[in-house]
Amino acid sequence: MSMNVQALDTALGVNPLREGLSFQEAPPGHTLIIFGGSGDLAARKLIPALYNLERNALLPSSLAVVGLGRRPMDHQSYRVRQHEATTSFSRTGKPDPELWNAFQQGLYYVRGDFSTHAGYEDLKRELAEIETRHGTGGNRIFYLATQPSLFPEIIRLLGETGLNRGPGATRIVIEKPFGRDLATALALNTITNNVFDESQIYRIDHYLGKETVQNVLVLRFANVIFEPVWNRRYVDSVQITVAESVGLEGRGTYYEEAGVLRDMVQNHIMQLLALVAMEPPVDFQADSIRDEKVKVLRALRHLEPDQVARNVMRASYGAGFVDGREVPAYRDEDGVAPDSTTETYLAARLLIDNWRWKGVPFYLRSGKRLAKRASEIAIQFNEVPHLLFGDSNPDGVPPNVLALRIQPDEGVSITFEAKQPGLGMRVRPVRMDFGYGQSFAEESPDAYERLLLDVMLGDQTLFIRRDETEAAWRAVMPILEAWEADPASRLPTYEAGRWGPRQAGDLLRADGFRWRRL
Amino acid sequence: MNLTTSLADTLPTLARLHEQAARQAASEGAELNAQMLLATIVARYPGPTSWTDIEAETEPVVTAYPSRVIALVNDPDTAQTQEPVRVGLLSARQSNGVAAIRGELLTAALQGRAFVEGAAIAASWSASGIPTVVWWNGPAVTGDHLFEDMLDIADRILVDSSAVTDLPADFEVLNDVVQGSHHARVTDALWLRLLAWRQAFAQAFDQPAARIDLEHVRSVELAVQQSPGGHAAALLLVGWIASRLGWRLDSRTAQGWRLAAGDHEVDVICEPSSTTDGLIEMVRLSAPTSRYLAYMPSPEDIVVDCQSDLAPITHVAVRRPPPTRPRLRLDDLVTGGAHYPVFQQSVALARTLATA
Repeated sequence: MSMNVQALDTALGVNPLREGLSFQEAPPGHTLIIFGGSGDLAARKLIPALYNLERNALLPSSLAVVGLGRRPMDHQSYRVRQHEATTSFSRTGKPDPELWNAFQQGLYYVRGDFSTHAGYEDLKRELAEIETRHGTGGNRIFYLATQPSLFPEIIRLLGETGLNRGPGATRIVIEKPFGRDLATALALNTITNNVFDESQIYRIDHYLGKETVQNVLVLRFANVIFEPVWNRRYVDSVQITVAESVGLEGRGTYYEEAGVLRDMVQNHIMQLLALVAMEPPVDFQADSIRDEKVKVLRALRHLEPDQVARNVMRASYGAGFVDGREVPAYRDEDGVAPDSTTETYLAARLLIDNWRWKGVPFYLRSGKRLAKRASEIAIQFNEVPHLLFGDSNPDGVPPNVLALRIQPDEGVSITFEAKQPGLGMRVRPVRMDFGYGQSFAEESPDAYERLLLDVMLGDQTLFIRRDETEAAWRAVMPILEAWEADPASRLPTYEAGRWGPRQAGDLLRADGFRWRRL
Repeated sequence: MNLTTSLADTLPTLARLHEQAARQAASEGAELNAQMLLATIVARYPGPTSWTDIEAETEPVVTAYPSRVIALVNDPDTAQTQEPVRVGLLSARQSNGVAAIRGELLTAALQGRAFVEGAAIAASWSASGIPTVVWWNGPAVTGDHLFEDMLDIADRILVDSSAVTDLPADFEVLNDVVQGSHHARVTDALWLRLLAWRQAFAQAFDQPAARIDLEHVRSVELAVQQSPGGHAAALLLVGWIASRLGWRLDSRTAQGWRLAAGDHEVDVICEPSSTTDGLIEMVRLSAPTSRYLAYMPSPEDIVVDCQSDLAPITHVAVRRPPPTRPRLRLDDLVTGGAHYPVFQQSVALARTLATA
């Protein structure tokens, strides 16, 4: 039946039976249409995430999932294939047979050429049939899980065939990268916003779906002890690290075009930086939070071309050993040009020009084939203004550090000084540690579970708004432009399995800091 | 790892156990994970209960919710025991293979007045700075010294109204302690047992169109296990629905109650269930043009079939682990027991129905 769900919701107010039940609100029926339905993302992430939502009874019973692709396959083959994928990639392991059997009834595969109007007209007919069969209420989510180069064409054709406005709520999910520079991001946003209203658009950065990333907001705004010192008066510097030990994992061709700046910094790290540095939002509504994040991104100091070399360093990995296994240099990887100048490591010093952060350096680093997989935000506080115990501690005492561990070993630690037992007044740093795994035994949902559910619920809090992605691109464009204007014939290299190039340390040493050992 | 000791030496013994555990971990080259307690749990056992039994029912809870558990055991034979206290650490292996201490278990076998005055022991052994939760292991009571002491020193007392014996009297007591202004809030394992039913109905009416049907409900039919626990469950569930929808008691009927719902009446009909599985077998809300039937196709599932001209969704399902005692206790710890105003209103109406 056709009805405007949101209008009714407003007219009828809240569900009186819902009050006090803190469990996740169940979304209404939906059809999820995945462009690239036979691809890697669907198999590794989307279908396992949907199955786990079903396992936790968080999906509407009237859910249909339609995978779209070019390769020939019938519904049953698609279901078998997704069962195998879910068995391999789901965090909960092999699906429960009974539950999977019920879940797979809603899985469909539609083959077609989605570069033509005809493909979309066929899709419309299929959807009408599936929606009637499952009683989805006409709510549709189009998920773009294809190569990014296909996004503009798909969006345009969705608009031209009227699929951007369905009988129920219609939403579109766009996977990163949102463009490969500011110009292409603006172009993609223009095309998307011409076809869909911003309230229909869900730009997904799966990092925001991670529990520990959301915990940054909770730590900052649900505790009174941190916010008073969360500013330039008490914070000496901030380090954000997103380190990977893996290499290209078969994505050499993609990575050659991207590099770590586009792959990690412009999106994941900029989002972490925004969450750490933002002002308290007025409430937990999507736009309130996104408004504050955008302000931070806009306040990032613009780097002039001659400042880029002093504040940003890039490198690519050489051969080395990771986890006891010999790995090749980046230039020797499949899909990588032997004379490639694509960076696999980046370290940067950024400044935020606002009242809260003026003068506090934000050090960012990210890379592939580093010593280990570790993501962390570390807030280093000022040294005490006057050390009473200097006689016993001639070298001073290290500053307090609050570390938010994003992955793995998710948690929070704070380092502070304590008196070393004994007759003297030696001071020694000790660490107080909170570990998610120790305090909360239940396993965290995968980021895609959270994000897919939020799309169905129409909650855009953890998705990136148009102006956010544009502001993030504006922040990194001076770096890209400087590199393009002065292409390096060869980048510095670092041995795979180490913590990056030696020069990365120089960036901090000049300011009297050093990278944290993770 | 556990040791027997005396009441006076309990906390030093606990400290010694921690030191031993740290030394052992160090000698094995393992890192002993720092312990982070989230709650002190005072578990009351009205009759003799062995360490093994207490450990077995405590372990699943503290593994998920690291806590110090103080078990007060009423044991008439305790005078023969020289060392009535046993102290132990509960550890579990984490996903990385490293053992971590998840909790502490302190059991005290007490008799007579010592048991009745057990709150003093609980107060002195509680860990500082974290909430104290009591597992009462029975329905709320009046005139019980230990219960009344606990209302003052604990943050929450988890009672279990499925063990009621006299419905009107016991709901009167429950209502008194739930509405009273004590330091502790009283939560109810029976209320937590009903969580899946409440979730299922809430989910069915999350669809805005179905909410129109809620305004026109004319009858609520329940199939209920013929036991005090089953009747108590029905009372609480009807109390919840009625209080959420603003219904008031009109009169008692042969099969249940008639409630006033604004401009119309709602008949609540309780029938015996045909099975002994679960306290409630089925709940049906009926309106002139719609019917919402909730039932349990399996012990873990509750399904609501929605037959309505308005609601587009034809059924919703809620899956929850079976409500075992450890599961309910964990739910209480994690959720804080109840959304208190909703619970209070539901109990108040349930009491009105029970005493009508």
